Amino acid sequence: MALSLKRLFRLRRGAAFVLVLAGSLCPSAMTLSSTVNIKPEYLIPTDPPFPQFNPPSVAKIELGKRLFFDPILSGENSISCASCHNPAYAWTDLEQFSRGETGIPRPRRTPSLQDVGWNILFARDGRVETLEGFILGPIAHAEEMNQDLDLLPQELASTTIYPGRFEAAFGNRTINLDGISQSLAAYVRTLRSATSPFDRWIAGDSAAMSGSAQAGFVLFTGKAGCSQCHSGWRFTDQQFHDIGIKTDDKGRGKLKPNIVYLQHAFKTPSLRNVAIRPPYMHNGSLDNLEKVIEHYQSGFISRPSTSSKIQPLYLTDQEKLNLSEFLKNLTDDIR
Amino acid sequence: MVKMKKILKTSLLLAPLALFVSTAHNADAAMTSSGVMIVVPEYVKAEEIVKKGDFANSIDLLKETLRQYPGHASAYNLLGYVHRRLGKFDEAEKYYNSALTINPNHIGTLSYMGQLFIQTGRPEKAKALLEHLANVCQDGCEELDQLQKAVTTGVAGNY
Repeated sequence: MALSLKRLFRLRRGAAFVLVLAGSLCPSAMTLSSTVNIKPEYLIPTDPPFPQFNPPSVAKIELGKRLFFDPILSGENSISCASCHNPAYAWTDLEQFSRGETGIPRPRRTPSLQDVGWNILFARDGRVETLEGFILGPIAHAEEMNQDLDLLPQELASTTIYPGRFEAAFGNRTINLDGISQSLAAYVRTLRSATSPFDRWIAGDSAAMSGSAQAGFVLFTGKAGCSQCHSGWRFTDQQFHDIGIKTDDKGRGKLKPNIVYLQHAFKTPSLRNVAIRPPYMHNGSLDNLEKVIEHYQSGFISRPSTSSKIQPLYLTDQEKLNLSEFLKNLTDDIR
Repeated sequence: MVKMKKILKTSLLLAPLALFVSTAHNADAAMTSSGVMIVVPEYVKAEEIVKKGDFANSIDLLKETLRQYPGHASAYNLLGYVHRRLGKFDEAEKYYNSALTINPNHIGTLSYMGQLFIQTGRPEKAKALLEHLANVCQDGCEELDQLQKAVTTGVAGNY
């Protein structure tokens, strides 16, 4: 059966190929007859763009990595960036709400840092335009790392490690906030998702994903409409949508109070490695992928700002399983 | 052709002085090679468009302003602003640098470039501009207040 499905995927010469699923593998596939354009945008690009004012270098990235994992960046030297952006969980954590140095839970779920080098706007509400401009914020925030930025350069300068590292990265031993933000940003741009079964499948290995996962991809880009927002190789359109989560948080609407559709709207998150980093949504209110699918099936709130792209799905149980299976195939091969 | 080049050269030499004056008093004006202050219609129109939030369509008008008056620091300054608002931070920085090359004391550019530095995670550079601006605006000015606020809060404004 798997073989018959494989033959339905016809790779055309060039960047795009057309997938015609008239399925015979599983119940949901048997009921589907859809055509999906698989676009080159699903191919993983090489390196993220970087601003001219902060070109990467090995020394700068190494300095940023050192800082990222060093609790010295927090006020009481008790937590590092990695405390909430844990590499084991695709650079986030498994908490509904992370707690900073003071132990107070933050109001929004910690976002993953993987592949953020491609972000256009930063934070779930997109309030900051550059990675460098964003990165000092959590360090200084009283309920996050709680660091007095006026004291931080001096604290780093008093160590035996950092003056030399800054000299290697920036050409002199002076430590300042510009260098801290630039080196951290240079390192964070290197935090990449890896190749997943989906990527191998896109590249032409038709056995890389199960028939169920392939059927899930057809649903994802077709009947379920997920790819309306979760588009491209990172599965995000980088736009802001109200997806009908029960919340008082205005999201992007706090910045744009007069635009109805941006109320309760948050940036579409990437789905790479989504299966290994629950809970989901901006407030971590859904603790597994099945609940996420049920939310889109019929669990969302309709209000003036709810995106018109959110409609009841009427997926069968098998289709829900296929969709979930596809999402699990976005997990890195090597972790 | 030779005459045009001569006029342009003279204009460039006079431009810094002209724009220092124009910045303080009338940013939409430029000085001709004969020393006459004139209003540049393209710049005026660009400002109107920018105020309406149509950043992209102001760029051609500002470039036309600079084609006619290459020393128009305020046109460079506004190009810096629209590129910043369009998220093109590297280009914005180049335009702001051009404005400051022509007029190192351009109040708007000192302030708005400081906003750019805050926006792009370079607070030390923003502080340096704030010090410079405080010397230029010794009696206080709105641009100084705006940059002071950005440096203090770490959040850039849309100035």
